[in-house]
Amino acid sequence: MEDTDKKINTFWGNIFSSRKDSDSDSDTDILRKCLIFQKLSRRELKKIANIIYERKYSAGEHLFEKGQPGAAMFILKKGLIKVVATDRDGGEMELADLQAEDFLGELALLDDSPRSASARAIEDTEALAFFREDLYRLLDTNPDIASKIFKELAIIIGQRLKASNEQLLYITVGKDKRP
Amino acid sequence: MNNSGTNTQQKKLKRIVYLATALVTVAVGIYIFLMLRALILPFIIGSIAAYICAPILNFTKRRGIPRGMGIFILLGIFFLATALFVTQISNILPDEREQLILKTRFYYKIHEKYRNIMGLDAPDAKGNILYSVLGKDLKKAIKAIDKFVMLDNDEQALFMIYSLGHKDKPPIPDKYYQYFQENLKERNKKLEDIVVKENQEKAIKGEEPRKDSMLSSILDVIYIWILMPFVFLFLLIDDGEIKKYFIGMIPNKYFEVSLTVIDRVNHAIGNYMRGTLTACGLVGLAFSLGFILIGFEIKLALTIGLIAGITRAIPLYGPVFPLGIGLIYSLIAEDVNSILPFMNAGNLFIGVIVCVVIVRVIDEAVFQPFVVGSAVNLHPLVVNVGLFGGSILFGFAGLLLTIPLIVVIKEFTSTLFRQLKAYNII
Repeated sequence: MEDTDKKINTFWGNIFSSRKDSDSDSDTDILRKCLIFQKLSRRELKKIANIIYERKYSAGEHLFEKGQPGAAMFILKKGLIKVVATDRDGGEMELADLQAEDFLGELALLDDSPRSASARAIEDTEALAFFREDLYRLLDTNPDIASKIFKELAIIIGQRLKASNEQLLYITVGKDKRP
Repeated sequence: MNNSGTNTQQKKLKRIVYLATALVTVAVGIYIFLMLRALILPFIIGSIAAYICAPILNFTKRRGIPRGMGIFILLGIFFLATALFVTQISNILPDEREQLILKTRFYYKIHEKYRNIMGLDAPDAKGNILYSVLGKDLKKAIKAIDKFVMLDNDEQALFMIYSLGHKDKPPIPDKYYQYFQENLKERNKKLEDIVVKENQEKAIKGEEPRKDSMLSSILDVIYIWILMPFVFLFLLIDDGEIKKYFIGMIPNKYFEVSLTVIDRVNHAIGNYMRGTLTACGLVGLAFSLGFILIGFEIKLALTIGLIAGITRAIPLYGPVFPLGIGLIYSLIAEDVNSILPFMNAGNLFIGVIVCVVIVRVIDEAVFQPFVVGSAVNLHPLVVNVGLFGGSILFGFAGLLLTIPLIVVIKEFTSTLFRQLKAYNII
């Protein structure tokens, strides 16, 4: 009952949330702190702020679930998110806790391959969603902005790949022989 | 305990208020929709125009022109194009004198052709075999056409005035005056008839007969269509806020699904509209070239091409317009300057029919599959049933909007179900 009420409130909240200029400014501030957009100027950030979607999630609600095709990246504005995956026994394995200014689901900006983990709101959360097709459209309308975003995305994915390789090496070869 | 009871009651009340608001909104929405049915077409045309202009606006943005300035330039181009179009059309459209001559020529020629074909040339002729088979039916058809082209008493009076020269216009050529007299005979009326006598008196006095004003009907049309430029401007200025608002209504569970579905539908309708616009342009060009080839005046051929290009957007009935105008012209044409040696005024109507058939075949075989392409990959039966259904339900608007609507519904349902399955919702 409580859960349904929260969902109804979130639903109506999404409809009647009035976006003011100050909201847009605070969105721009949040975006600036996000690694993917860190190379963008204030003017460019405002253009991104115009095409993002603001979403509100109740505690316990999923932002996305493992295996679903990804369509958008999320930047947290407020609240707390837990990223979880299922282990070999089918149990839940916590991968990360994310809070305001963190981002998640960035691989969805490249293609619609299934999400590798689930993301669930631990408390009432506000997030900004950046849709992949909007990024693709930016390639047409503002190629300079899109190229900066793709470059940062490539750097982040490269860093994560490097870290994964190191972890894999650590697991397979052992702690002592770690480079 | 008391507090929890009050809370539950408050929540119940809240739900009732939300539900009642939603129901009232839907009911009012349906009522307004039904009441303002006449505004649907201008609204949709304005939206389509804005949709078509969006890529142009993106192009100006890419060239570093701010959005506001881009809209300003677009509006400038729109008004300039409208002014040019109206000027061109008003130049092409016959004035009062030319209308009277055209009607007279058309009435004369259609009766002449009828007599020729039916073997009724001689005064005491009883007609050929064609007359005995089709005579009665064709006579009915000609009587129906006569209602539109026959000069009424006021127009006869005007013809008489113009025949002497009026409003700085030259007198009507003798040949057409003879047609006029023959037409009167055809109607079993002599020039000495009382009405004509009265009209002659008026002509001598220089009085113009009273004509009904079309102002009120024009105002009615403007009153409805004034909405179109506002919708066009509003949607161009919007820059995605409306879409965001509606996306905001969608529950979180369906957020990514809806974004994907909207994007795919947008893509399909964009492809369809770009394809249709190109096909319309190509059909217009093909008709212009075809009619020039069979001997139409260049100005008239280009006008018919323009009309054919625009009316191609009307499914099924599109070719009727160039065919109709072409046939009407072929009936009254007296000098044909075609580069094809076998074309003359007598067989011009065959040339028109052949030209329309060839363009129609090219449209079906080349433009439709290669230009409009897979965006309208619909079964012909679906298209035909949809078109008849659409025209029965919503008249002309239904006829015009059925195919894009089917494209939207097809793309929407297929993408929605695919996505709902992918997101494990169904």
